[in-house]
Amino acid sequence: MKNQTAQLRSEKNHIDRAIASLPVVVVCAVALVLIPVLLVIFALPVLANFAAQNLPVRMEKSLGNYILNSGELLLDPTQLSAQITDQYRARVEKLAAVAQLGAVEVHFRAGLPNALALPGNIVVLTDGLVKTMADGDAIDAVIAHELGHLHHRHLIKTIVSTSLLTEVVLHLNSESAATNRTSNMVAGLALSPHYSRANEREADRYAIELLIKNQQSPLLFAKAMRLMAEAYKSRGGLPSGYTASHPDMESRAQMAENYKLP
Amino acid sequence: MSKRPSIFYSARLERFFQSPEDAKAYPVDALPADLPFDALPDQVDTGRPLALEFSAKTGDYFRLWVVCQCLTMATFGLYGPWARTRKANFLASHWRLDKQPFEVHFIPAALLRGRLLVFAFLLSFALLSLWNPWTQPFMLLAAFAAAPWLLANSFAFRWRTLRFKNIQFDSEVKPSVLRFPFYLLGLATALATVPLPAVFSAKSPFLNLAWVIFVVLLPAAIFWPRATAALTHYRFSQASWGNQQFNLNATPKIIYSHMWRNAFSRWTVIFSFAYGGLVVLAQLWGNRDAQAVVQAIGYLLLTVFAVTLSRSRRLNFVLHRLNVGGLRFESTMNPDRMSALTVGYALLAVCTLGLSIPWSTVHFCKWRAARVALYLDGDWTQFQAVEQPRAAAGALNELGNAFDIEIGI
Repeated sequence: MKNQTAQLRSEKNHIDRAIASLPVVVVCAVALVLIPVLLVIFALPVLANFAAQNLPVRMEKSLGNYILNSGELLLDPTQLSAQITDQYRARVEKLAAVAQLGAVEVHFRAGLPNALALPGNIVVLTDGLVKTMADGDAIDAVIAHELGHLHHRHLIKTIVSTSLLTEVVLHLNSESAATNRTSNMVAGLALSPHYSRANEREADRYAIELLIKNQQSPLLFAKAMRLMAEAYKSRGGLPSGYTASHPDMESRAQMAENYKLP
Repeated sequence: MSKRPSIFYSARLERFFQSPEDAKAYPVDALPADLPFDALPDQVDTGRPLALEFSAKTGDYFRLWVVCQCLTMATFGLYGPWARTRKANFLASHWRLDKQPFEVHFIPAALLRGRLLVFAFLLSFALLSLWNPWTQPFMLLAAFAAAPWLLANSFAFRWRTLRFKNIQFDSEVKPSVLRFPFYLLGLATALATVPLPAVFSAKSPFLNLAWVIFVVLLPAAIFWPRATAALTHYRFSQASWGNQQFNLNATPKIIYSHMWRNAFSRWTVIFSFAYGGLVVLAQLWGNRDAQAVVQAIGYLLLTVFAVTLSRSRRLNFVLHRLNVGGLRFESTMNPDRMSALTVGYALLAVCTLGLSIPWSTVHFCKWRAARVALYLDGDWTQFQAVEQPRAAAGALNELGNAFDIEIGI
């Protein structure tokens, strides 16, 4: 090894000299670890945000419609009457007007209590959600939360950040498919839920502020979270913990109860 | 030399009874006792045994690798082809057969052109998908339609850049022989991306079953293995070294049948049971994080371990049925160990954020070198360079290679 290092040093090529120099090698090793980590922690959210904010509306709409109509959601047509769906559509439109989000497309589907925000200002409410929130205005809190996702363009950000994360992993481990798969799995397990929960919290804060702007109590949000938790209790509860995509419902309810206006 | 080892054979005992001199001259790990039972050579190993060794040191490769990776990162990938060339030259020059090194002849500028073309293609694919996701199935169909042509060119590139004793390797695969398996696979993959809520939400069990059969079961059981078997066959059977053509004594059908017969080992069965047990335990515990971790372990075992297992068995199978002129091969690479090593390397790479890759690369090369034996009937003069060696990097070859599809056996 000493001979080879000495031989490299004697050559004129500056890259060969760099390879032979221990300080350069140490600096490169540190940079190789630090730069991707810093990239993932700091640059990735900024890049994802930039891409999401600058994506043409037409592309967003097209993507939203594709997801809505693809088999990915696995949702059946709604069983609700037109009268009820009109009533809830009006609630969404009213809140969207307060939020100044422009026209929002509302769709209804059968299924467990849930709501979705898709790119291109599309909101999906399920029959289960309508039944769970049947009494009072608690459903406004859920709608406001979905409008928060639309306002912050969370789904687009997730798509962009996941793609960029994959690129970073690919760049680091391009020499082995097995290493690539494993790193992607670990990155997916450790980072994706973290990003997702951060998005949910951001949408929660937006929802509370929107409720206040609409002259409604932030406690509606706490009520909605507890109703959702109750609805899933008999099904083993909603996922929580480090690998869950959403924060646990009780902490979200408490956040609304303790919310202080900025 | 290559008799099936006795069931009473123990490598540890063998090591214990060996004199230090014998151990040096005949390392136990390279003896046929490690032959996996499914990998006995079909050919009689006559001829002179040739020494195959990999002499690189981890420290040397680490220095080279870390500087190359850093430069690639600093130049946003533009230095990548030069880095790849340096790394490939280093590794090839440390592989020695009969005390002679191998050589690779990459042209970095040509590699860069290929990479830029691929980057442009992938970027347009991504933008088109965002602009109109309904174009995805058509783009996938186009990609699979081009796959045979790309793969044939990738083979040509890879073989033509390699030399031994200053004689070039070559490959000339006709894309038409790869069309059938890839078109079927492409059709199924494209269909899987077609949004068909009508099929999913239809109350017709027949439609749902037909969908699952064509989009999930047939590709996994037939289309993908058939395509892999065809690639394995043509990759070797159409290759040559100088004036000598490689001869692979296995049709794609035989390779496909081998893949099915050897898809599992005792370890995959043990892992499957262990995985099942962990799933049940995690469910009983009710902890969602534990369930997610168990799922990740399952993914690791089912994809990385199982895929490597299948690949290493295929590699042994091919090596034992391959010859070029009077040169024959024998492998004592244990597929289970090879898969365990690959999983270990991958986990280590994740834990060290990639810094262990140079070590694992050198370790794996040494591991393979100690377990592959070559025999030569006759002498080296039977291998003559062809009069007009082909260019390693034509535009088509670069493009094929730049896709760098994982086609290795």
